[in-house]
Amino acid sequence: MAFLFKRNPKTPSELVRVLNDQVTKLDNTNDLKKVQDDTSRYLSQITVILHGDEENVPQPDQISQLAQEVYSTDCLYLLIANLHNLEFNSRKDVSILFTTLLRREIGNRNPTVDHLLSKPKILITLLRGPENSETCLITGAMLRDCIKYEAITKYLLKEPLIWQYFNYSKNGTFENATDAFITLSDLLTVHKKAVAEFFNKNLEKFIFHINNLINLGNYVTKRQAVKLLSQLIMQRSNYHLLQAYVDSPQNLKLIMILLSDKSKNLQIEAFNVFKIFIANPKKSKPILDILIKNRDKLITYLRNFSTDRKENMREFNDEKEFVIQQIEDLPRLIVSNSNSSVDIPNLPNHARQQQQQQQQQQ
Amino acid sequence: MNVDPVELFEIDKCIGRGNFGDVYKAVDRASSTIVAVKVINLEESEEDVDILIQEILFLSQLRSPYITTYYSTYIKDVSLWIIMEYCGGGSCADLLRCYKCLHEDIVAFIIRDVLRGLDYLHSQRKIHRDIKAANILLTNSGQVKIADFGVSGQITNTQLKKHTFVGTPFWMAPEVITRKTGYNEKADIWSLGITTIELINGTPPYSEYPPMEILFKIPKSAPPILVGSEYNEVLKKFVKECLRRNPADRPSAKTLLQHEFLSVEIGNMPLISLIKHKNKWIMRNKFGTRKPRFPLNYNEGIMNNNTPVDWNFSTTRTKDLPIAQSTILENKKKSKNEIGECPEFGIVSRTGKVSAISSSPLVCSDSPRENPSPKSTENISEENSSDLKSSSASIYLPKDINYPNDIISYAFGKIFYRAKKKETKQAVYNLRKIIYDFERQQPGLCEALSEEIFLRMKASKERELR
Repeated sequence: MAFLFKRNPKTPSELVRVLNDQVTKLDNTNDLKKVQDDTSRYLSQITVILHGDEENVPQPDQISQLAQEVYSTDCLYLLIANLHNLEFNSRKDVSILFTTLLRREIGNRNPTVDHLLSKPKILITLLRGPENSETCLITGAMLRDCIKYEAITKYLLKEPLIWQYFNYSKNGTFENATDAFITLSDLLTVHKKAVAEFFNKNLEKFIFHINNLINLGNYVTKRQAVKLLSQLIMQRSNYHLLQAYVDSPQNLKLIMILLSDKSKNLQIEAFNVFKIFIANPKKSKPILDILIKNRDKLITYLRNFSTDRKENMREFNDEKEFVIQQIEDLPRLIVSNSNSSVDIPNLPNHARQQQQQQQQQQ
Repeated sequence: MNVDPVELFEIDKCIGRGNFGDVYKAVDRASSTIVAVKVINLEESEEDVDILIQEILFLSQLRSPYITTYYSTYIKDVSLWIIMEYCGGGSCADLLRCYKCLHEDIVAFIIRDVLRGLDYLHSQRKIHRDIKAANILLTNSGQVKIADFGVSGQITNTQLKKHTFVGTPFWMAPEVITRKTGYNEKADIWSLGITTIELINGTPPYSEYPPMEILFKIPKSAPPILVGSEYNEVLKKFVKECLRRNPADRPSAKTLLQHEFLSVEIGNMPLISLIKHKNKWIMRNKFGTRKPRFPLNYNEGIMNNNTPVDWNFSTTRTKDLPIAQSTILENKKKSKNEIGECPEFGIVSRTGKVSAISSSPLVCSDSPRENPSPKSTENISEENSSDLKSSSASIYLPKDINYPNDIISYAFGKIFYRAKKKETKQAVYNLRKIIYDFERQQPGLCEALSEEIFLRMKASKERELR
């Protein structure tokens, strides 16, 4: 590639201009292959300017020229909007151009962040990335790079399109769905302050959507979603989310159902949310009702509840003991059984099975 | 995402076992092509799901003829099914099993393609971290492909050097073992040098030592070299270049591709015939099938011993339901007088006689008696129900407790769980049965026993406080 560069020495600004010309043709050309080839060539030349190659070292003045031209044109928008028309490797070059520019700093400023915020259509196009299954992993990675900047996250959290990510996380191929979930998770975890503000306005909606994922997702979605939920609830700045979540009996039911899932990992993730319901000193009446009605079942369940994960074993056991203690302290319901005849109740199943085994052995 | 992969792929047999899961040969029902299915049980896997997902996402963005192609991933029950290109020629380790060692020209042919794969991986800022003969796969048409990215890590701009310990000791670069400075893609070049020796000699250097000893030996020793007239000079040079102690001195994959050692032009025919002969040899020796570490039993699930709990989510409110007062009771203060009304250990019958139960083995009659109160005896004798019922404790214990079930059996159930040894559990079980048998003969026994234990505990606590 370097010899092309020498034979036809375009300045970085010229390169961006000819690139823009080709990209605008992509959607409407009789010879897609040729336009794609030209675009690919220019993009790999740009990659060499940014990252160098075997013979060239990146030059700061060239990079800054390139950046200026990108900012003054629709270059980033055109590239992202036409990503699906580019060759596979060119898409990666677009991603390199995007992330390299994004990381540029001049003093305390991130010129690319300013550029993106002044041209929201770029961010909007990235947000719509999951609609194109061929390129959504590339746009997803670019979007997550953007989320590293608080100003952008603040902007994105106000954008209604983000609610679509709950659907994206459930649908499509495994790669596309999990990628969308990672983006969602980054949006809600990276900048605590921005997220706390977001929750203040969107508590109910968020709880509805995350419960929906936990309820209807597949095994991986469920596991990821409960983990995200417990992470968010435990985050000190998301105090309002915690309050709202542990106040609703619907949420408790969902978490208790998950607690009895056949998957150990789901049980443990669910326990991490369940313990917060228990630790809440001001449990609402409906919450108490459910807990009291299931007091004995919960205690039996928790006594047999263990983890194979070696790390945090001690913390887990301490928390479990605490939860059991709290539940034992709840008022106990009487199973109305007024007749005086004695029916020998069964020991809990587990115990009975062992008993039978022992008898068989004997 | 919610498609059942069993409907799409027909599993043939297990062809490999790894720490992360088993690999199966399977047929894509739609296209009738053979694929490899890597099944990772996420319940058993120690690996963080997030990291696995990152690996898969990265894998799906790789396209090179020198790397096994990733097709797709599905979720089946609690497992991931990762569908990959199937390499019918097995691995270079299989070749070594069959032929012990390989000719220099064949090795050059294989190593050149591995370098092309590494050049691509490194251009994608990826370190493989486990290059060895067993991870170099072959197709029946003699193509060479790098496989097993299970533990490979991506180098990003911010974190240029990895600090994690992965790979297989014999092939590990010194800097990977010492981890003093972290490492970069040059660690793969070292492993490639070791792999070259492995393919030429049949084993990597130091293979006679146990793996743990190797971890000390590699960083301390001078890099291995090939010595002797049986090896070609260009081969010796190539290995020496790869095995430079200082990673910065090792050439990049791109530079190494220009090395004289790799300039042989033999085509893929010799390799194809080696593979064919090897495949027949493997068939004869029935090495082809492995026993999976995590057998696929779709219907059973893996953790079916975990029966779901049948939670009670009925809408009745608890205030409408009776609540055992004993739990509330604990919070109430009791007057000394009430405690003093504690009856004797013997259970007093309505007629004022101490029943035989007092000397039964159920009651610990050699405990010190305390404050026997004739008054309470009188009180109790006035109550009349069954022979054993109603000591003074009934003042604070609700009457509608089912004592045999709620108290005695519950307590034995608890003790049953606490018991660690089988014999102890058996003893608990038997004891409970005996009590039940006596309860049938003497209804109220359990109630009386419960009351006495309760009162005795109370009294002891009060005494402690005083």
